[in-house]
Amino acid sequence: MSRARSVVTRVVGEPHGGRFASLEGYRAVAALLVVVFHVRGELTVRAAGVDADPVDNFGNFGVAIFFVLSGFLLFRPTSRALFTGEREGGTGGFLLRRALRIYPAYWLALTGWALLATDQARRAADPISSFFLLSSSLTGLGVAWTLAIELRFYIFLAVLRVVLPVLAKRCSSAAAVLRLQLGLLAAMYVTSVVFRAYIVARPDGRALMNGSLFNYLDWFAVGMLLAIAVSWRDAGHRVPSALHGLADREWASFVCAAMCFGAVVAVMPAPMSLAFNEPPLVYFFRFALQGPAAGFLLLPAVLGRSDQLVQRTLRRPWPAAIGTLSYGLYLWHKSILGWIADRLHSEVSVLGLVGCFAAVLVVSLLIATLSYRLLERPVLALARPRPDAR
Amino acid sequence: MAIVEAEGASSVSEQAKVNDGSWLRLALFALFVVVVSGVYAFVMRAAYQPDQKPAFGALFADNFDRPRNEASLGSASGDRKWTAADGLWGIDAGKAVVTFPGKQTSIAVVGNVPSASVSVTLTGKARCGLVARYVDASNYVALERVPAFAVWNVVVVRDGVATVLDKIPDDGGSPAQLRLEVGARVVTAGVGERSVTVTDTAAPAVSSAAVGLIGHDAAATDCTWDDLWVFKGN
Repeated sequence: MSRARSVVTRVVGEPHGGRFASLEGYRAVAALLVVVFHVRGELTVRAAGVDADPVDNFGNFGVAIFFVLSGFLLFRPTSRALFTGEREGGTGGFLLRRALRIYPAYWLALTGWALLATDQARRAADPISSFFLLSSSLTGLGVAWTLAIELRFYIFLAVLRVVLPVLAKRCSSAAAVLRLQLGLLAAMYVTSVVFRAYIVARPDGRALMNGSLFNYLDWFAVGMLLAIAVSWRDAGHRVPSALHGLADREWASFVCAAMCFGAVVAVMPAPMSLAFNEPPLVYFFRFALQGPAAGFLLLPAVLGRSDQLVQRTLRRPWPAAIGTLSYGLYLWHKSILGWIADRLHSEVSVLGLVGCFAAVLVVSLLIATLSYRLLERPVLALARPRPDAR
Repeated sequence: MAIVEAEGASSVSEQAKVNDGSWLRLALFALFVVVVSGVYAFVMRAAYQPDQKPAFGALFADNFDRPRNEASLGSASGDRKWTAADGLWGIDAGKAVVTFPGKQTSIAVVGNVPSASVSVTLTGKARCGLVARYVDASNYVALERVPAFAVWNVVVVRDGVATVLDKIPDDGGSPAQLRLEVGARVVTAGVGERSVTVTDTAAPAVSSAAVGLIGHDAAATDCTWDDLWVFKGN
C-alpha cells in the first residue's frame, strides 16, 4: 500500500485529500467506462452481428458521471455562497480557470490526433471549429463533443453566478434561498424534458441531440442537487433523513443506481447499429435515467460516511491516480485506439476486448501522465487563485 | 471534461491573478500555444481540400470530403446543393450517410441532369443504391441492392409503382462500384464488372430530373456512399 502510494506520488504528485477524496476514483471509473465503450465499439465495427449488451451504454453513462461531477463540484461554491451570504469570486477568473483547464491539454491531444489521423479523417473535421470547440459535431477528436457541452455549461454557470446572488438578496430566509435553488433545478429539468420531447417529435431531431446543452441540463442538475444538499448541510441545516440514510448505506445507493442503469440497458434496442431507429420513448427514458443513475452512484461520496468500503477503495492510490490522469486518458484514448486499429486492420479482433483495452489503456496513461506533469499541472498553477487574495 | 478541481473548494478568492514569479511559466505556455497551433494548422492545411475538381468530361462530382455534418450533405462541385427528398442525410468520415431514415425510403438528390451517367462507391450490405432521372419520390430510376435475394435490381418507379427492369447477381462484395446511365429510352446499370442494358419503352420525356442516392428501411443507416461522378448521358 505504502509502496503504491509512493509510486503514485512520484508519478502524479500527492493525491488530493479532503472530504471528497473518493471523487478522483469516480473520475477514473467514468473514464474507464468510456474507454471500454470505445474499444468495444471498434471491435464491433469489425465483427458483424453483435447483440447489444450493457457495454453499449457505458459511454453515455461515463459521460453522465462526468457531467454530474461537474454540476456538483462547480456549483457547490455558488450554492454555499448563497446560503452563507459570502461573496463569491469573480466570474472572469472562473471562466479563465475553466478555459485553462480544458483548452491546453485538449489542443495538445487535438494536434496529436491530427498527426495520427488519416487524411480522410482530417478532412472530415472543421479545423477552426475543432480547435476552439465551437461546435460539438464538427470535432476531429471524437470525444470533444462533450468538452463543447462542458464549455457551454461553464458559461451557463457564469450567468448563474451573477444572477443568483441578486435573486437571493430578495429571499427572507435560508429556506427561501433553498427554494430558489431548487426552483432553478426544476427549470433545468423541465427544459431538458421539453427539449427531448421536441427532439423525438422531429424527424431530424437526432441530429440536434448531441450538440445541445439542453439535452444534458438534467444530468448537470443532478450534480447541482447534490451540491445544494451538501451546502445546505454545511450551513447547519438538516438534510432529509432518507437522503442521508441512502448516502450512509452505499450499497443501497448503488442498488438504486444499478436499477436505473438496468432500466437503461433493458430499453436499449439491439443491435447497437440500429440505435438511430430506437422508438422515441425509449430514447427519452434512456437519457432521463442516466443522470439519476450517476447521481445515486455519487451520493455516498458527497453525503455519506467516508469509511464505507467503496469510498475507501476509490481513495486508494491507483484509482486516485487514474482519476487525476483521467482528462488526458479521456482525450487520448480514442486517437490511440484508432491508430492501433488502423495498423492492425481486422487483426485487431485478435487482441480481444481485454487485450485491446489493456494496450490502449497503457499507452494512453503514459501520454496522459506526460500531459499532466508537463502541461496541465503547470498551466493550472498559473491561474490558481492566490490564497492571500481574500 | 469534468476533470475538475473543486472550484473554490477552499473558499479562496476567485481572482485568477497570475502568481508572482510565474512569468517564465507564462512565456512557456505562450510558446506552447504558438507551437501546437502552428503544427495543428500545418497538418490540417496539408490535408484539407476545400474544393474538388471533377475529372475531364464530368458534369460534376462529389467526394463528400467535408466536415462531419449530421443534418446536411452540403454541396457537390459547382456549388450544386444536395436535397434530402426523404430521410435525413449527412456527412460522416468523408462519406454520405443516412443519419435518420425516412419512413420507407431515404433519398438525396442533386443537380438537374435528365439524361445522366452516374457512378458511386457504395459500402454496406443493406438495401441501398443509386438513383437517376429523379423527378419526384414517385418517379425515378434506381439501381439498388436487394440482400434478401442476393441481386441488384434495376428498378423504374413510375407514379409510385415500382417495376423491376432487370437484375444483376450480387456477389456480396462491399464496397461496390455502381453505375447507372439513363437515356431517353435506354437504361444501363453496372455493378463492378457486370452490367445490363434494358429498354424502358414507357419512359416519359422529362425536362428536369436529378440524380442521387437511395436507401431503404432503417438499415439504410448502415450504408455509406463515396466518390459520386456525374457525366452527361447519351
